[in-house]
Amino acid sequence: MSPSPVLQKRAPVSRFPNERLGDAELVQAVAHGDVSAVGVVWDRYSSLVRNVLRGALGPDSAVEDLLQEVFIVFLRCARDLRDANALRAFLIAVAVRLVTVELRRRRVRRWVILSPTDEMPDSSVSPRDFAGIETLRGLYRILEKMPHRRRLAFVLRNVQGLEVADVAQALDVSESTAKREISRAKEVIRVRSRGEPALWQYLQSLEGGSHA
Amino acid sequence: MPESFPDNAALTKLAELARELSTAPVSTEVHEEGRNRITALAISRKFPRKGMPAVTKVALSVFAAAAAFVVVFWSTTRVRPITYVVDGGSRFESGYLSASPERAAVIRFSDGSAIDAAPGTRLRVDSTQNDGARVLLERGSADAKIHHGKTSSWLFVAGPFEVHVVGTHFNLTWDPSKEEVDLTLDEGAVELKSPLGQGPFVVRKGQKFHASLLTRSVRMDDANGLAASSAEPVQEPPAASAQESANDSRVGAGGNALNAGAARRDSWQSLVSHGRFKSVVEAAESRGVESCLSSCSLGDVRALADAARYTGRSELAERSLLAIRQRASAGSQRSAAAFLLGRSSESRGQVSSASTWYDTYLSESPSGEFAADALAGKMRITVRMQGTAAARPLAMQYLQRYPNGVHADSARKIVGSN
Repeated sequence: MSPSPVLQKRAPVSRFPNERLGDAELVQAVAHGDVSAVGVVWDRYSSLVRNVLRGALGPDSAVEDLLQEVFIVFLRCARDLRDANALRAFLIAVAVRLVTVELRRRRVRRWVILSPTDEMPDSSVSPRDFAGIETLRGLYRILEKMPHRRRLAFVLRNVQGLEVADVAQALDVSESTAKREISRAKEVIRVRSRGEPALWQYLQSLEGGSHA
Repeated sequence: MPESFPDNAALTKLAELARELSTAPVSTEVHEEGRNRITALAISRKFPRKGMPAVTKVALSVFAAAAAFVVVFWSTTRVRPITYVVDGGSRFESGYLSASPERAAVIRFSDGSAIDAAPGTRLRVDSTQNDGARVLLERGSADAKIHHGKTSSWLFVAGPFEVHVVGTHFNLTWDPSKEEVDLTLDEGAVELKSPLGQGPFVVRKGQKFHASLLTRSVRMDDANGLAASSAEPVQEPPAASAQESANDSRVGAGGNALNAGAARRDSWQSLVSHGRFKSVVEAAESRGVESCLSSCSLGDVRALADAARYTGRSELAERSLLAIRQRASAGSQRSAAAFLLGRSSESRGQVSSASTWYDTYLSESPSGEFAADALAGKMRITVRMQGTAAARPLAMQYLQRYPNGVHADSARKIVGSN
């Protein structure tokens, strides 16, 4: 049986795919209870947020839980998000805030119950190179001793490659403060890397390479 | 090395290495699981707040009330730290006392104890508590009369030597230029910790203790000036407390002054995780490396191995790793030691030994955390010893197991070469 002419004219209206929506529309969709939009936000930004969390904490079993926390905060705040275009910055800022709380909590826990160590755990992800892991352990030992804001400023700017303005926004400080923190973090790494043999060896090998 | 080293370019490279770690993609399963969890929450429209459960709130309230009571009780009943006054010499706010070359100085404590500092002596009252004080003798001679109380606890530190005192009268002299310590007991007894490898010594009334770091000698004379047959070390404590004792020894034969707050007992793993590698090696040497390798916990021996590697003490690192192999019958510590022995041998050019250790690791822990590195090590060594063609099967094996591994490029070159 052939379809009626009327039906032929009325082609089914396909929904504009959420994947192609801009951030502002996605936020609105989430705010209106569109569950598939939540999935799209996850697909679009979970890697970025995970990178921020991993950069700040190192590979850590808490990362996936914190990632969920970030998105839960987003679900809770989607209706009230003033600048829906700033979804990316919002998610990064929430991640930074949660990481700060987590770092503070860990510091307190170390004081209170003398928890084992703040050693960076063995990585289950790249780099699988032993020397690389030892180098990064040295770096994270230095970062661990920095104030949280300085540590995060360095990670966001140098590890995640964010612009200074974005770093400042995520940390809720002025750009000049962000720049100052980044600069101080580098200075601390410069000084303390001498006390980290694997890190120092790595940096020296770079120096050797640059002169080669 | 210039002051500005590492320069910005080096730090950028370092940051790139960290980025490589932080941006490594997760598996599809992990991504989907996270997606499912968050969309399930969105469907339920129940977004859990990370608030604390009611039980925790109640417990915290009770705890807060108890804490407030303790604070009030403590502030009204606490015994304040003993105080002291200095007669003669120059005293500074930090507790540092310098007796002039001509005249002795006296420190009188509120509990009745007193320390006579001989002319030219430098010492520091590092801290005081309600039942004693910690005194660092930096140079010279101190004649101490310590009041004996039920809970008296005094600590005198002379270079790397520690004298634990309850109540007694003694004279302690430290010469930092010769690194020699002398202790003479007029009354009572003290316990002295020495970095010279033996356990703590008990020095009693009438005895004189002398030790030299330079000659690594210890001598105890009795009241008549006759050399005792041997110094009297306290019975070696059992493993756990011996460990703590070793951990407290923050110095080695080098003779550096002890750090303030030595009462804090850090584990060696913790010291390593805080980058204090030298302290761990020194503590092990202070206790005696052999004793440590046989009786310290495996975690501490591994910490010692790491600290030794990081400070360039490859021979000590290897001994520690071999001790782990000997003591652990199985498990990740044992196999990790095999891998690290391979790395150590390779870095010293002992390729045959390195190859054997890598094989050992791979047979014990084929999917272990260092498996990729061990395989890559085998690949490097085979290229070096037998040429590229011989390494091809290993390179293929590496690519099959770790197509995105950090040594994949090297493996591809080996596979692709003619």
